[in-house]
Amino acid sequence: MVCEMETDQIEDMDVEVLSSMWPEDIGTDPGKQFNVEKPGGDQDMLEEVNIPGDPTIVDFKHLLDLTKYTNQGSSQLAYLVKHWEYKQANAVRLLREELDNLSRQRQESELKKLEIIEEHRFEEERYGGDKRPISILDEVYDFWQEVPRRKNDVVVPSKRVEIDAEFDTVIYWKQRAMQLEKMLEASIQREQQLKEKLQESIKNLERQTSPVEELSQILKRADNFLHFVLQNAPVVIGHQDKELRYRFIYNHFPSLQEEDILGKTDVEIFTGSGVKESQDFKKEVLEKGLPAKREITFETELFGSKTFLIYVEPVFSKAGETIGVNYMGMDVTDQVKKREKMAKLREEIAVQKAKETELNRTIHITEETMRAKQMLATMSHEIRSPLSGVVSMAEILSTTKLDKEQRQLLDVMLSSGDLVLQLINDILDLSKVESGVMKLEATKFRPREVVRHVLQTAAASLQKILTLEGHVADDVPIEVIGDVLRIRQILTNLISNAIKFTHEGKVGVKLYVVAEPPFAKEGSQNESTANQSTTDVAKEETCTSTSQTNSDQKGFHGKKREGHCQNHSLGDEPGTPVMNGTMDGDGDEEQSELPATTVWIRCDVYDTGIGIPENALPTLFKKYMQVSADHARKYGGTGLGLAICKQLVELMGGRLTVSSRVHCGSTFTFILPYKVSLASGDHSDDPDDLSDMADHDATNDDETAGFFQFQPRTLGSLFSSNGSSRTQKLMPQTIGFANSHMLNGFSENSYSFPTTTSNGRTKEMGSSVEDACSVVEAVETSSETESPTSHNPEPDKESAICIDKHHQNDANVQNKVSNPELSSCSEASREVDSKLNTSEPQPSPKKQDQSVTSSKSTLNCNGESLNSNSKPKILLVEDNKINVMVTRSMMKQLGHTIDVVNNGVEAVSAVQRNNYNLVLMDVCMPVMDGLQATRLIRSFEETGNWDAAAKAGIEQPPLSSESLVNRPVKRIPIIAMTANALSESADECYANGMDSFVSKPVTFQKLKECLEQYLP
Amino acid sequence: MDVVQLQRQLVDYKASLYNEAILDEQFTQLQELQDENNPDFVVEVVSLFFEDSERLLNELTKALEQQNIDFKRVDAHVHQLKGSSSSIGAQRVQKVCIAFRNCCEEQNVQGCLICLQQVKNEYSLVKTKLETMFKLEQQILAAGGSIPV
Repeated sequence: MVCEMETDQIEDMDVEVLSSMWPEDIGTDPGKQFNVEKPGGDQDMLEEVNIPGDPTIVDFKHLLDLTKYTNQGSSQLAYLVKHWEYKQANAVRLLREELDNLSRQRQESELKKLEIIEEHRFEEERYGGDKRPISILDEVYDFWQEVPRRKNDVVVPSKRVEIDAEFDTVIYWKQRAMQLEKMLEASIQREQQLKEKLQESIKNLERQTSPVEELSQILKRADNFLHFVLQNAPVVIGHQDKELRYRFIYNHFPSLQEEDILGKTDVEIFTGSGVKESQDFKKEVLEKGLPAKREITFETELFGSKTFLIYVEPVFSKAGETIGVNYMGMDVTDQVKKREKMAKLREEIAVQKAKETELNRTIHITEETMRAKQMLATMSHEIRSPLSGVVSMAEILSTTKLDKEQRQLLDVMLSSGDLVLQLINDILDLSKVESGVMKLEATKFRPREVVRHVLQTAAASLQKILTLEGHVADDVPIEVIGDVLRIRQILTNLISNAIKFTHEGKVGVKLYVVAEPPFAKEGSQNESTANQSTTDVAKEETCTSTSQTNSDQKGFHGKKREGHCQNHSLGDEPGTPVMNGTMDGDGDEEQSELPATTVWIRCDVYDTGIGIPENALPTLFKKYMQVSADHARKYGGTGLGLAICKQLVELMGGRLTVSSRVHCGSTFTFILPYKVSLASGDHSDDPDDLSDMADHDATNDDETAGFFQFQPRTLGSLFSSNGSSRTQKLMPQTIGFANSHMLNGFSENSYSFPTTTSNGRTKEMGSSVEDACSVVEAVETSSETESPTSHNPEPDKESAICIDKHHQNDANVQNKVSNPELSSCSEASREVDSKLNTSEPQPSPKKQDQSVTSSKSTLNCNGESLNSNSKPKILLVEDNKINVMVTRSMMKQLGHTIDVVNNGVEAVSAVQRNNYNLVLMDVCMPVMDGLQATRLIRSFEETGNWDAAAKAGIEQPPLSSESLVNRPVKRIPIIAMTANALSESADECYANGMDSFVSKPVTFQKLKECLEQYLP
Repeated sequence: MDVVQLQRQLVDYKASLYNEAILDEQFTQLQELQDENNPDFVVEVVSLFFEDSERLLNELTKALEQQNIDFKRVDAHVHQLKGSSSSIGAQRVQKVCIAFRNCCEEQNVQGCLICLQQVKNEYSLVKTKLETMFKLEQQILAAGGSIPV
């Protein structure tokens, strides 16, 4: 130990003074908090000063070292000494003054004595002195006594000697001498007394001015003061030496005995978190030599979790070395807790605020979005109105006499207008659903009719060789309640989608009842109770007019029929399936007592189309999403359709799902809840009831027919319903329409419906007819009140009139009639021509010529039969309309009719279906270029199969359409038509299997040469 | 106006179109294709050309306004326009289209924009000229004359 070395010295030199710095009376008192080690006593200091519970522990010896060797200590000591010295000096000075005084007095008195003796005269004596003790401490500390001032208040009375004898007599002189003698004696006596007093005073002074006592007093006071101040303060004060061993510690709440602390370091005393930190902190201070504060949380067994604010300052020796640290700690646990709580609160507030801001922003964004959507909706609406005006005016215009050019322009106008209308309707629907404005209507409708009608509509505009079919399971109620318009919209959308992506095979709809799906069961409890509780209310409401029990549901058809019979016991047959009536009026009028029941009907729309890759499924129902950009280009569309379907289905409480396999097809399934009613009395409201007596069978078939099929390319029997004899009845009309140059079989069929089906359909199908031809309108209105079947001779007659009219109006009306159907589903890119040329009109050659020249005809199977075997079949593959027109015209002049397709894929399909003698192939085309198409055709010619084409995504040709297997595979001459661009070099053409090339623009001469070369 | 005078005017006008290299012999081919079965063939084709070109020019304008220009698309459109124009013999349009496609290949936006402007100019020029020509023809027909070949 450093201090041990100096111990001897200290004891020798300073023991007396310093030992008294810590008064003995305090040290031994157990109640006191200062515990002072006695110096020079037992060498085992720790043992000696051991007083249990006493919080103050002093390594006294070390304290001595400290006071001596630390700056503070020595300066304090120096001060004390100086102070003492000063007081000492003061005392000496005072004493000296006193002595001077006394000696002077004595001199005076001696002089006086001499005087008296000499002169016999007594003189007044002056005497002054101060015997009061004087404190050696002056007013350095306010609680110290004032140093007494010297006072000259001691007065020695001087008396005149009085003699009553007669002056200048012997007696007088004797008396006088005697008196003087006495006075002298008294004076001497007094002097003696004074001397004694002086001695006493000096003694007193000596005793009083002991510096030790003074200092002890001071220290005691200081100690008291400190005690007074620190009595209850939660502080720990200590000193640790260079090795951070405790040398002194003051702790108000001691939990350790001092022998446990003194001489030990923090780490040796405590364990737990924070101890090491404080130790390190002290070390740091020790090293840096700068005082520092830090807050340290201790987690110790001794006093639990406490936080101390620790102030550590280094202690320097006189030489400037650090020899230890003073350390003061204050328990701030509560404050820290509070502070942490505050911080946490503040943090929470901040988080709250951030959330709030975030929320506000979200709200803002949502509002903005809503506003934008609203804006979009409003705009769409605003656009729609004038656009409708334009389109309907154009429609009217199309009924007037127009030349060919005008008609072409008008057709473009109409189809574009329809497309834009469709787009706007989509957007409007979507924004309606999204903003929650979309209101669902609850009306009664017949699912079978909806399915059949949607299929009919689709078949009418079908431009492909596809079979459309519909299956409605027997357990599906004949009538259900729901929003028929929306359901029809969904169905139409899904079916047209299916048709769009199916190039071959079939598209169908399946309807059957399913158990309540799991997703609905979550809310079903509430719903059912709600239903029960609101039954009374529901009765007044339009939608829940009727319902049926479960048992009813099972035997639905039978009972339904019975119900009909009972209700119409007078012979009234079940009413015609008049959609208008059920949709608009009946639901409102009926107020059945029966509670409504919900039935879940699942609808599958399946196809054998291109399918959807798995990775595209998640985004399928998203807005503006299509499977791929390629698809978007190839198939067009806005990408809104499925999003709308999904939203509509969900709005009605159902689910729309999809399953698909690439190249195999897709199935879109939606499950919807419908309310069902058993009430059949509603038909009594039907004005047609009485007149429908004769149609009993047909109507019932219609109601319950579960299977519909629309076969492609079968004129005359396009629509077949099981058990229905309608097809036969339809025949004459259909043929009649075919003769009147309806554009294709499907549209004929659809057109024939107004006279043969229910009014609802008539309405929809004929809406444009209404505009276009007043005659048709007349037919329609009359048929509304008539039987829906063609049984009735009257509609036949009327339709005949209608046909006549059509003959008169010729192509104008044809176009008109076919427009809405066709354009509604037609692809945008080809709409211009498709309407006029969906298929080659059969009969008159003149007509044929006209249509051929007026526009290019797309490939059609019908066209095949037109070409006589003697004529060579030529296929032109070209995407540029103008080129098509020019080439076609040139070929015509050369005496050839040609088939035209617009891209490589179509070219391959055409070659699959037909035998061509020559193919003129443009090189640069969308979807598939001429080079690839040529490769695929060559591949077929070499291998005899279309595997390569199938790989490229082109469907196999329908085997029924051509006897491909038997067809001898010979090499078709394929002539490239190049634009002389770099990308279309002749070498490349040859490399891909082309036989020759014609540079564009094609000229009469070039074509002629080419034909001469390649056509025998 | 005198029919003969009109006819002469038409002949002169057509000649000027060829001289100014607005039209080439492909247009003559078109005219040869027109016969009594197809009396309006040229007008039909040219109308189709106008319609198609306007669509393409719009598409091109839009495509070149995009931030990220889809040069493939632009090229496809220009290709179409080139094909159409060469088919009717609008050779100046066709020539600009060739330059246009080169710019596309280089992905030269500035060049494309310049070409687009040129194509538009050439197109409107040929359109005006052809329309004037058709008008003359109609006037001749209305006056009872026949179109000189």
